[in-house]
Amino acid sequence: MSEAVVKPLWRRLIGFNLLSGILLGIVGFYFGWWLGHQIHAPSLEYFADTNQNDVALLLGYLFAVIGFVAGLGFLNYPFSRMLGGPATQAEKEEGGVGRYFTLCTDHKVVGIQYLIGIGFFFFIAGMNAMLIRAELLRPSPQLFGAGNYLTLVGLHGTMMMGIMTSGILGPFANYFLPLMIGARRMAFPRIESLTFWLLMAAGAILMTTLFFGGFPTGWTGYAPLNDEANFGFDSYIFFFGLVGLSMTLLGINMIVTTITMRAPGLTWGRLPIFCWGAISTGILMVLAAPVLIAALLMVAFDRSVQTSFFLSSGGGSPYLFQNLFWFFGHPEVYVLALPGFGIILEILPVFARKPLWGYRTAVAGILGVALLSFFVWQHHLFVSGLNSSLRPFYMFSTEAISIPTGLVFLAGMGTLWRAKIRYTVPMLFCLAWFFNFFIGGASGVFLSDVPSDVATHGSFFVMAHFHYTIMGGLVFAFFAGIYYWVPKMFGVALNEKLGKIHFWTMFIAFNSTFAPLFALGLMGMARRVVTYPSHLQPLNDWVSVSAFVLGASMLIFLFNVVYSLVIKRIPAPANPWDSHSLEWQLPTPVPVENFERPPVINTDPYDYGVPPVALPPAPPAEAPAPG
Amino acid sequence: MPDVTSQAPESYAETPELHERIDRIGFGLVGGATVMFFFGFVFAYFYLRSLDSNGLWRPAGVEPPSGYGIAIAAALVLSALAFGYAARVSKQGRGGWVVPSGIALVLGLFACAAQAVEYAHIPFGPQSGGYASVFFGWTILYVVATLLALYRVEIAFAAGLRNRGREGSAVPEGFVPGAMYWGLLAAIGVLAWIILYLL
Repeated sequence: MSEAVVKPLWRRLIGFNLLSGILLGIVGFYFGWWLGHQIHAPSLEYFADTNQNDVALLLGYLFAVIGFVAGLGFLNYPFSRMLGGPATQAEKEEGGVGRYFTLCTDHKVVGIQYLIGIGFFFFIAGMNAMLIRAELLRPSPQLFGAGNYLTLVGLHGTMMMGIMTSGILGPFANYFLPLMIGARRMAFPRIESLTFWLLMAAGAILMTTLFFGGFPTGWTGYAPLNDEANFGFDSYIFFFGLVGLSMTLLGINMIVTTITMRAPGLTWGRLPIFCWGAISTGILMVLAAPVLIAALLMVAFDRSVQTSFFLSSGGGSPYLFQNLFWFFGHPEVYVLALPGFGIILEILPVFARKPLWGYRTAVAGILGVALLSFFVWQHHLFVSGLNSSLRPFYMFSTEAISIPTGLVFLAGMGTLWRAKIRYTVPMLFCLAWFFNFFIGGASGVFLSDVPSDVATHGSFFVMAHFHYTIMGGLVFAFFAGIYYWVPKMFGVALNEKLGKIHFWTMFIAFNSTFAPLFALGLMGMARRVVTYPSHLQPLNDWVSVSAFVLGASMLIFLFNVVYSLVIKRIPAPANPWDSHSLEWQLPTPVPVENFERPPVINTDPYDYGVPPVALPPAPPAEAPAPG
Repeated sequence: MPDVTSQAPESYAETPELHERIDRIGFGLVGGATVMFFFGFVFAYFYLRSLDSNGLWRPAGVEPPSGYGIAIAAALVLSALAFGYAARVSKQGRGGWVVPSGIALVLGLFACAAQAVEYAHIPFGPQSGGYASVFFGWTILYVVATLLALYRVEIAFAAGLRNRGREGSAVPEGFVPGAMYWGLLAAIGVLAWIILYLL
């Protein structure tokens, strides 16, 4: 599949790698920028009187991305095919660390690339949150001012909601899905790598908004502000567009791999629940993300060639954007949540030492959530002039989504019932997930009801709700996954004691940060506004201090990573959790080609506590030949 | 520990059937994503048309030249038929799929060129109301999607040229799924013609 050829360092710097990608990306940006300024058309004349040429900036970003992926080597194979070259499944790859800085078709390398890349942007977005809470220590602007505060809020929300869409599928599904189904690779290895590098390009482009004045819309990018916003909004368009493309390709890869590459005997009824989470998320990605891309391209057209999709004064409508955005946006919430469901239900039986209770019920729950998530988007428009006769349908469809979610909870609780639980760090994160997600889900019922939604819309109540579902649901599952799978990924386990300190600090600080936001919302504190009534300051200060502790808990985690993976490096056993699922049956480190021969799956991966299968008696030994 | 796994006696074999299945499902999903992408423009068309904000949905004089619409749609349909024929022939293991692939490629490029020429002769601009916005947005992105899909047509054609004389044994992978996707995209092109020129 891949040939490991180790070259000297100087030789590795020349060729198709990250360095070339960055250089060609910069060249591409300036080429696009120059090209944009050369284009003259009647609909672009208005640029002549301004410092803002959106065409130039959008073309700059476009050519920067093309240059970046070309420098990484992604265009070599397509060009070879255009010249009639043969189809191949893998690149000729270098061994060693160089693999992590170029196009690599080993799914395990891509998984680790994702883990580090996403961790980097998660850290930056988290720092933005710290700055937001620092600003809110006082009721009036003190650090950044209203405009910069909005940019901070927008950067935090957009980066979290964009990058973290691949927060679990990127690192864990790319790394472990092929191992769990007994495959040697993903169905489309180059596309797998491309999804990662597109996401990194997207993150870098979003950061450049700071050079162009930021953007005032928050992560939702609503019209007409998106048409009117200054230069910096173009980076939002490109960021989310690339994230949407990456998501679509990632989803396609997950689905095709699971359908076509399962090992013999791995029927749908034996598929690990994490894989069900991955493919149901993949379905959402494939069907929802293209609508987002279309909406963003409409914004780009409005801002560049002067169409009027979202301008009432030109025959358009800002509500069109709200509809298109939330047609993507609400399924996206489940793009974030469903992989979390998968991780939690995957890990729970291992530490409960019981079979997963109600496997089919859990699968039905996951698929049910995925299906229903396409029928609820208009609850985000309850206060946006939605025809009142449509409100009951969207209210009931939103409430109905709690039924399949309840099935997932039921499976989890059934698994824990009378179990001999091992309170390891991954298990603690799993248990906390149930607590957090329950609060997030229960508060969501209030937001699906029209009367209470009208009262709380746009307030901190909404913010508390979605942080409980997304951070409480996704990020806790993310950390459960990290503590659970790091021994297989890196060959060493994270320190258990430090892990528990991290968990308890994070869990307490998380609840101390976000639970009071419900109260602040009910008392009328609005989102995305830098000022608030002075009587809300004590509670806001409490929240800010809690948020700083929450941020500090991440430093404990980082310290644990450095301590365990760099300083101590105590080798972990191949299967430290005594798990029955397939990825843990492999040696550590996992061989390049995963399995020498296809594994044959004889049972499901959750048969903890089930008596061993009685093997047929061995045939009698042949009597030795006389003489 | 229970008997979770054993190992098959044979080693991994990546058969052409597996690759064909991967391509078929992959193209099916790309087709689904493409449909959802253009669904955004269909939704925009009917949404903005029903609202008719400030009476600017379609002011007088905003009429695309119908001849271009017919020419583009016809070229797309013929291209899809030619590539579908090529895929069918290749599936039967026969040669003779290179010429129809080339015809499909030329017709697809003609459709894109015709769209570009139409922009030069159209009597309204992107700023001429809601309809004009949808018209330009949809058609520009359709041309981009068409050019990307023509890549698949081109690699089939290029592979055929490179393997002249033994086309029957050198069929590129994913030919049939690629042809189905190209047919889907042509269908979206016909839908665009119906909505943007006829309604």
